[in-house]
Amino acid sequence: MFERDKDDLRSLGIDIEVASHDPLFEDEPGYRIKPEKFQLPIEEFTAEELGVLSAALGLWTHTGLNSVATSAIRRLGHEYDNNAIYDEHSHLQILSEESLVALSRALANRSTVTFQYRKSNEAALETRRINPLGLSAWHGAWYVVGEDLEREDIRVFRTSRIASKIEISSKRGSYEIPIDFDVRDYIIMYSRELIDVTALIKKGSGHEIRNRAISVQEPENQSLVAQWDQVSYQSESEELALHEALWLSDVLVIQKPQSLRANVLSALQQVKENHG
Amino acid sequence: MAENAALRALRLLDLVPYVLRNPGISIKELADHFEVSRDELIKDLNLLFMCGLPGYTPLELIDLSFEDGVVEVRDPQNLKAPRNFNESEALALRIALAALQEQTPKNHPSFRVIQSLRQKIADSFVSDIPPHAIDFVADKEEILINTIKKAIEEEKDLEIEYLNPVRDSLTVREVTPLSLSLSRIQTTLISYCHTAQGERSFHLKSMQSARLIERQPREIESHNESHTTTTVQLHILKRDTQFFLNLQENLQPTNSQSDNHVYDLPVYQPEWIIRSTISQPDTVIVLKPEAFRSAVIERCTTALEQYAVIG
Repeated sequence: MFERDKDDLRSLGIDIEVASHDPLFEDEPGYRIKPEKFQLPIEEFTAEELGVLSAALGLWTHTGLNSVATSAIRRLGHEYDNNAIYDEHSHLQILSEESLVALSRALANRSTVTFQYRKSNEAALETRRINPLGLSAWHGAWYVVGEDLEREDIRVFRTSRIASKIEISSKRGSYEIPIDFDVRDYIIMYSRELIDVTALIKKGSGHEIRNRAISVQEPENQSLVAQWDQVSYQSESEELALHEALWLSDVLVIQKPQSLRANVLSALQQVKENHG
Repeated sequence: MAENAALRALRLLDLVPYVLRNPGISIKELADHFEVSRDELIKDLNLLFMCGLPGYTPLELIDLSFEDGVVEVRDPQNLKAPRNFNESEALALRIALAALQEQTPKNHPSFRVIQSLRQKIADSFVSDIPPHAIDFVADKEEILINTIKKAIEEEKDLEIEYLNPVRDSLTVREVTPLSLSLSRIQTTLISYCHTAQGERSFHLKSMQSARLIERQPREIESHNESHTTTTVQLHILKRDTQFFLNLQENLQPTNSQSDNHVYDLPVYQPEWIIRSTISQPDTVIVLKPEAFRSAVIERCTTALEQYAVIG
């Protein structure tokens, strides 16, 4: 087999080993693809799960990653049903973004990319060379987090500000991504200090809080179990947490943090006095 | 573009498990499925006929037949299962599952399936891309707008899950969408609500989900509903607040000559002004009517008692 063909197969995800496999001709090397690496563990997925996998891959229909997704769907044996429950989402604009094809390919191959980038509020373009480490979609925009090879630092790039074709280095496996890498550590929208709140919430109420709750459980005090749940959630600021607690003051009792609880009590007293 | 040997090899590897799962498939269907010509497919099948495991005796060869235009695999050797996802496919799948989970309401039966699948994919496929290198937070309003526009274009109805923050209620409603209203503050769906049997507006920020449903032939009463409003007199303590800015157009000064910061406001839902007043202690005081003023005091008293007794 030609080296080029072996490289092509490896690039397509087929892991080829070179070793002797013929008991009669031990000196003669052969090629082997290990079944455990090659085979899709399809028996581990239920029919419903295979349907959801197909539906998920179907989101790439009409995008630059259509061919990648189609090949995977074909092997799952569950064709994407255009009338499936997720059809309404199939036109997600964000998945059609052109740069996503190149960036995901580079990320999958761990290949360096080069592009022209326009910083916010600046007219001039800069050439940036990065090792992509992660991708984040945030409210309709894509961000690539990567190691900037010139600045020797990790930087975040909004893909809509990439003003050129993305050149992908042909060298694969140029770098490694640390196993504990978390794209949220670098995206500014996640850098806000969230407030952890614990509260009692009346059963059957406080739906907005329940929707974003981290946990909802029985309160420790057994006498409250019939009417209340204990809920843990996060708020974007102490100010917002206070507003939420007062808005739902008929059904929500803040337990922690103490400062928030004290502010709620003080505000309720103030409103009462204002109207007394 | 000419196909290289690697791509053809991949197709051969995919053909065997596919035919195994679809015994008796016609050559034409198989060619269509793999997007190749009939002749190319027959070349592939002829090549597979000569492939097998080391030893290469008839017992180790892949045993398949494609006579009479019908294909069957009798012995796939070790090609029973389909080819695993490669890194690019797994990455596309991970992004898509993250996107799908973001768009699926938590109470949808598929939500938990998607959640567990994401974990399963992470466990099943050896990947050099760590689990938290991919992140997806959807623009939920954009998704809702797209769904509503599609419903209007295709003359379909919507099943919406709506969280009314004033009433603190979560309801599922069937609505006929009429239009979308985009303002400086928020986007609103104007619709006929079949559940309430009247025209209703729904703020998108409070809409948890929207799903297209077939439009049933049913009567839509076009009478103008009369909304009862109560005029509430408010003392606005601060005017540089969002509360004041949002209501500016509807607030009528009680005395146009003096700037005493007292305004009249028509209110549809008493509960809204009670919650708004309590949640903004430095911003607004209800002056009239007395019943509203008493309701604010009572709500605060009850809340303070709750804190004292159970907190």
